[in-house]
Amino acid sequence: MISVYGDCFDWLGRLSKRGDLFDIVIVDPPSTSVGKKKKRWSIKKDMPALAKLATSCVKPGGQLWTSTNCASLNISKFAGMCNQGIEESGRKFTLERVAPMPYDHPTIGQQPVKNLVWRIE
Amino acid sequence: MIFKGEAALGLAILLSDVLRASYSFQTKRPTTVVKKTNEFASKVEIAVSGGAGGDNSYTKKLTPSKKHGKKRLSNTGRNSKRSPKDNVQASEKRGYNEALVPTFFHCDPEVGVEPAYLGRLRILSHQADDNMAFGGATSSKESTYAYLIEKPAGWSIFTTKKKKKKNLKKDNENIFDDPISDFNEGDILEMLSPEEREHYLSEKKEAENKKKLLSLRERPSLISWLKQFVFEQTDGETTISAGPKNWKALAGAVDIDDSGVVVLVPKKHVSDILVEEVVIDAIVGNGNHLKNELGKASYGSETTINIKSLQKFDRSRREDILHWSSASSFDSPIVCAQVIKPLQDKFEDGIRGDPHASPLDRRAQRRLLHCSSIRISSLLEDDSCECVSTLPGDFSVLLHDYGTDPYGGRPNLNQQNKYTSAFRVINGAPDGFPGWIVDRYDRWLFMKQDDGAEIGPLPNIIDNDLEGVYIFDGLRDRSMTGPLPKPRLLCGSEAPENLVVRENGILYHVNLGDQFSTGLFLDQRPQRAWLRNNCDESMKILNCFAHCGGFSIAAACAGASTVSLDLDRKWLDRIEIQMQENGVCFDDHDTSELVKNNIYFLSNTVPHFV
Repeated sequence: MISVYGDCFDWLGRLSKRGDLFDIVIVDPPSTSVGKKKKRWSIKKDMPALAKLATSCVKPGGQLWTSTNCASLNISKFAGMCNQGIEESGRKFTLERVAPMPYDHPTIGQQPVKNLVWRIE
Repeated sequence: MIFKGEAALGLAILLSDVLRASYSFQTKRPTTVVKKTNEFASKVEIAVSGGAGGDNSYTKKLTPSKKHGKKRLSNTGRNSKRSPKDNVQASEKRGYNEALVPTFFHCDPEVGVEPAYLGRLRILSHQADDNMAFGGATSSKESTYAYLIEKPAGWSIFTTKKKKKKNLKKDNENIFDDPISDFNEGDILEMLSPEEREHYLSEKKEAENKKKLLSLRERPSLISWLKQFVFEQTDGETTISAGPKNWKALAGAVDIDDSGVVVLVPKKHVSDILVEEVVIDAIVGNGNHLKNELGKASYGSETTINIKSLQKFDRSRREDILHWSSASSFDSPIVCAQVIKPLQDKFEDGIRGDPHASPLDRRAQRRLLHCSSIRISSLLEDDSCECVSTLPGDFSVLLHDYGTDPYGGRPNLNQQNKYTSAFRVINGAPDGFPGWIVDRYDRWLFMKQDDGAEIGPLPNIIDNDLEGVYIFDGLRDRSMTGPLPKPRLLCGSEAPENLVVRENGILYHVNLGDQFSTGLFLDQRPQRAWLRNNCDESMKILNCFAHCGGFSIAAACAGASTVSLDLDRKWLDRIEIQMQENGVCFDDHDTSELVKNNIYFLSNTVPHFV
């Protein structure tokens, strides 16, 4: 069990360069944040790039799990952005699961938290 | 402790508010819902159609929401037409990307929820012993029965493993003579010839690969459970043979996602019983997403299905109206899937959570169909059986059905659940209390109140099982810079800095007095459970934006090795201690003694609870 302190973008790049591959890569980014180099991150703008980067750390046959709690981003849009990013990686993939929230968090309209699990070949 | 006096005063004020709130909660609530419904309907109607009069028929009531829906949807450029046909066009126009339809649809079984035996029907007394070989009971002294079982959502009737077994049985009929003997691979391999062995192994590998694509773990099966149950109940005297060859799930909650009563009949005796009545409860209201390809579901067209609307919920739900309704049939064995079409036809909306209606926009973990009662009788014997099943948690939460105790909080998710002690008790507007959120963390409550929001009820406050209440008020703009306010202790005693809560049998630490985030996001509970069930010792997990490492801990408890990334050291530092709390050695990669067998039920695998 390892904890690594640092910018996720940097580390994803580093890990994939080193050839460290994982069975499941979980990406649950904040809606907006400021990174280490004062780089602004916004899920609406940068999700495809993150999805692409994360895909490069997934073992063949492994899973990429993208998640967001950004309430202003609807799930089709979010799925579209992840889809775009993974597509750019050039690998074959399928969307495997859409995981809704538990029933003690009922919603009006769409659910604020979206979880998508992708199978990357 | 400076605030002791203030806290006491606060508690007194709060309690009076709470009592007032609870009073209305307890006594006025059902009527309020109905009243507001009418108010809303007539008010909007006047605004929209210039006052069509006091007609409160179903279609009239629908009008305002329709208008409203149109308005909202046009903003996002989406089609708002409502008939099933139009909906096809709508989804086409919306352009569902083929790649964006998930391959896996079913819900996971909830941890700790097991089936329940409801009753049985004697189809045939023991004399006719030629039927006994695999007609259900194998002992010649026993009669043949049909069973009524309460099926939890996420359970399948038969295991996929049994299918494999069945295929093998075809080839090697004599191997599985003894129905109790468990599937023992070593024994099978020994009995097979080299060619057969090779064939078996390659088949197995293929099946395993295929299975791995869907899920790593076996879904629990009702028939296996029943087999075990009957075996235990009769002290091992009676055994039933499991498997799709011998049994048929005749009516009720037959599909994986359904919950409630299901009739299990020995296949040979399907025509010997009469299903007198089936009642299926449904929650309709799926954001106008309809299931279009009904397939098997429409086969019972000659069956008459009566639909009764029980309650309509549109208070503060203008764009997401719910109907609680029940569908029933007489003298016809209907299954849950068969009521989808009639319900959609009546309400022009889909079953909430139906993955085939809206693969992405899921509003419940499963399609909300629950078989609430079944009555069957034998055509050969003088025996009949009627069983009912109470509504499960996912229904009662949406129906605001908190039972008789207004402080009770979520049904099925209270302190009695020995696997989970952290959950949401009130979720703001969807629960009827805008701006008022209450979470329970073991013996503490953590409330969030928006600016200007009315005070809502505090469940559990008088059940003598609480030690303190924290409040975080002023949920303004969280992206605002500057120091955020801290939660404060409203009454009772402070929680320890690292409060240990359990969730699906895994222990986590939360910190209630520090900031807005307690360190555990309760809305990801099923996802952590999923991780635990889908990880094993051979797996490596990368958790980016790990925060307090909830996902890492769940995966590590299943034996996987984890790498957690985060920019915030303060949060990351809390992962190690939580791993240790669960017996996971932080520095070693595969020392999880905790869970060797990753199964859905954690009773044997969790070493201790606090």
